Amino acid sequence: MKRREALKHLGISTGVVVASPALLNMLQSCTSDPEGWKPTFMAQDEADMVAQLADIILPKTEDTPGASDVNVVEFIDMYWDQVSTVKYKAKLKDAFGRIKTKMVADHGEDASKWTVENYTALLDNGMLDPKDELPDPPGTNNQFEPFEHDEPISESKFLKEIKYMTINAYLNSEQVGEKVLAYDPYPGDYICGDLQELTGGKKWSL
Amino acid sequence: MNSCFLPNPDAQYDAIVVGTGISGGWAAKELCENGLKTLVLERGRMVKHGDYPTANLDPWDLPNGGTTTRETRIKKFKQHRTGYVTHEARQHFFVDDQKHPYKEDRRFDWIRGYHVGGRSLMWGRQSYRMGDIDFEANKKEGIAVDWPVRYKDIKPWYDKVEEYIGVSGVNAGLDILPDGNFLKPMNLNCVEEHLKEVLSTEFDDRTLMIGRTAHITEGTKEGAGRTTCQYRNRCMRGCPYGAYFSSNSSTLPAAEKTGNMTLRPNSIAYEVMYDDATQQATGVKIIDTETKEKLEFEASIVFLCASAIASTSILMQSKSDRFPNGLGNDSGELGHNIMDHHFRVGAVGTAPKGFEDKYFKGRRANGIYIPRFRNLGGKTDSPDFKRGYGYQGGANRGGTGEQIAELKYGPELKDLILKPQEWRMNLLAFGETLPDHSNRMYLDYENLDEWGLPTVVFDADFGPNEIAMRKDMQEQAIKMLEAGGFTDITPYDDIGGMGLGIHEMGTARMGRDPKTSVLNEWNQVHTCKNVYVTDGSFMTSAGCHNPSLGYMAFTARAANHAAEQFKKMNS
Repeated sequence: MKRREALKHLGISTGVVVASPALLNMLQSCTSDPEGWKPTFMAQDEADMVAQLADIILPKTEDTPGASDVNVVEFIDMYWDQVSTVKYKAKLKDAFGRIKTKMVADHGEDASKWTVENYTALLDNGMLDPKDELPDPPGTNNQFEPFEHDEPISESKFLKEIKYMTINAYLNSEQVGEKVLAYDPYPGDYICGDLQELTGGKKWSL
Repeated sequence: MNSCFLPNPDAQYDAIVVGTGISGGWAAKELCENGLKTLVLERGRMVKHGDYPTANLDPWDLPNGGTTTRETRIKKFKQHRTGYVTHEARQHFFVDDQKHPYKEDRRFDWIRGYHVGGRSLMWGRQSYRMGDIDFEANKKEGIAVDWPVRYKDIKPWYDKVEEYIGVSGVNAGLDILPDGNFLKPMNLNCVEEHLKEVLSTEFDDRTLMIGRTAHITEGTKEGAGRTTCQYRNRCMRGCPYGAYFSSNSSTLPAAEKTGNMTLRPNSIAYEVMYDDATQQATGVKIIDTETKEKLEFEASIVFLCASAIASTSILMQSKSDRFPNGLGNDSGELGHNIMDHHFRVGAVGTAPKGFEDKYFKGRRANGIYIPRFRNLGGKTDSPDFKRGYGYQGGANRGGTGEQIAELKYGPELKDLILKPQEWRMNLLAFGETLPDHSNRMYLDYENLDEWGLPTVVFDADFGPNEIAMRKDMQEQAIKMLEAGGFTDITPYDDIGGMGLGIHEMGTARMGRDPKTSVLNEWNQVHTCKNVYVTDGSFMTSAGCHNPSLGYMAFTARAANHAAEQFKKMNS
């Protein structure tokens, strides 16, 4: 048995690990089959749009998976559904509506004909440089209903929300966490050393 | 002063301990090991060492990577003010604020865990001794009342608890931070080593060291299976290795082993019963949260270790002809002088060039410590504020950097997020709060909880001394980072609410005079000697660092005092 396995075993065997029904539920929900997956918060066309954007933001490359390879759209849909305030969810829906209107005006009704170039142009033109952007008013996605202000999410902020949600989902996926990044659930020590020797230049997933 | 009490011949138990956290666990262990039949009461559910359902879950095993859901935020809206305790991997150890309400005349963030082990399961584990500079400060400055103890009284007990729980760290030979007998220290990383070097050469009044933390870094300790730290930094979920100290892994199993402990979870203690004839407490009244029954248990000795606010609330509810304002409250100080440490002030800076090729392995559940260097005499004295502060924090390569913000999309962005970001060093100051009579909690008999018990109301805030201190806390952080060649220095100061330090203290303070304090030098209620209170409520002043090690030392001392009295009476 490897050291890591032994440690994991030891950790579990020191006591009865009680998994509550809520925990079992959430574990199940994390391992749902992406085949035949249907979004909960987003409409299907909104989820398709996020998938297109996510794969431009983090595309598949030779060595590492792309955003949709690790189910970021599923993650984002669940996050907006379970984490965002009800008020922020309404603002997201409103922002989706505005982006859709814009895409229709620029590229026609039929979303299936919108190309990667069309989506790329949306990001190029829509996402402002941090320096050119006004800061969020206090209470933006504050996670508390009463503090959430009524100002709509700007196009740029919405596209950045998708960018950061994509990054968050990507880094929190099992495949990236265990196979792409440096993964060490039981380090056993804390030392400082050479970046290349320790992880080959990658960051730790945990 | 006489500290004796009489036995209770009708009692089923020799002693009752209310609460199972840091203090209650120690009271239970020491009383049981002294041969006293002890009933240990806990208002929450049972948690045995190992009942840590999330301890081995990675972010992808948790929904939303563990981010607090809307549902959790709504239930635990006051706990959520901390910004970290409601993470889905740990929120099950923190209370539901809807179910356990309290009111705030002034904001107070009361962060609680109702289960066996209490907050010893989720504590910060930083472990420092108070010294005579702390114990003498009130007297020297004419603030509040004098501590009735000095370092020499408590030193042997600090020694005892440090040895038993295991504290890793280094000795520094400083009066402000007495040395101890430590397990091997955790390592500083290279950027922290750099700042340490800078402080030793550029400043003559300050030093940087690794934090002293209640983690086993070598060997094992007694308890329900306690072995060395695996550097996973998932402590607040409960540690399957028992590597950090908790009641669940350490003191409660020790008490259990004696055969003298009866542990009763789901039992809300709400009143200490008092007998006018003997002028002593006779026991404790509880509500069984499962059967809803009200029950009474008698004992010769009562230890209140329910946490400062809860123990004070129990004393306030313990009314009699002799004590119309709450047991032991002749002074009128019960519920007053609430303190917490103030923090969330300091600065973050980017490390100078030369560390790009360095990284770390392991997730160290510990940081740096820069001990207090203010108001220690001579040129360290500040004209603007009393007492002092220390810094915690450390250097890390996390976060989302500026480059990530600038890149919109594509392979370059992906490469960037898979690499460690630049080294950033955080100096986060923790400062002492002065005791102030106008900072208080009281009971609301109009708004009862689901058990029909009065609820707590807070009326407290930080004062001008703390606000003045914060200016220096930030300035000195900037100054040290600048001296170390750090760039992009970002100062911050967000005091938040009192209570965020999760160090509620002072509501039943110790003192020499029953007219101005609630407890004597042995943690006994001045006017009811068989009641001991040994949680944060006894603190006469706050010191500037994490207080839990002191709660353990004072509890062990008080429990042995109680056991000695008990043996004398029965011999």
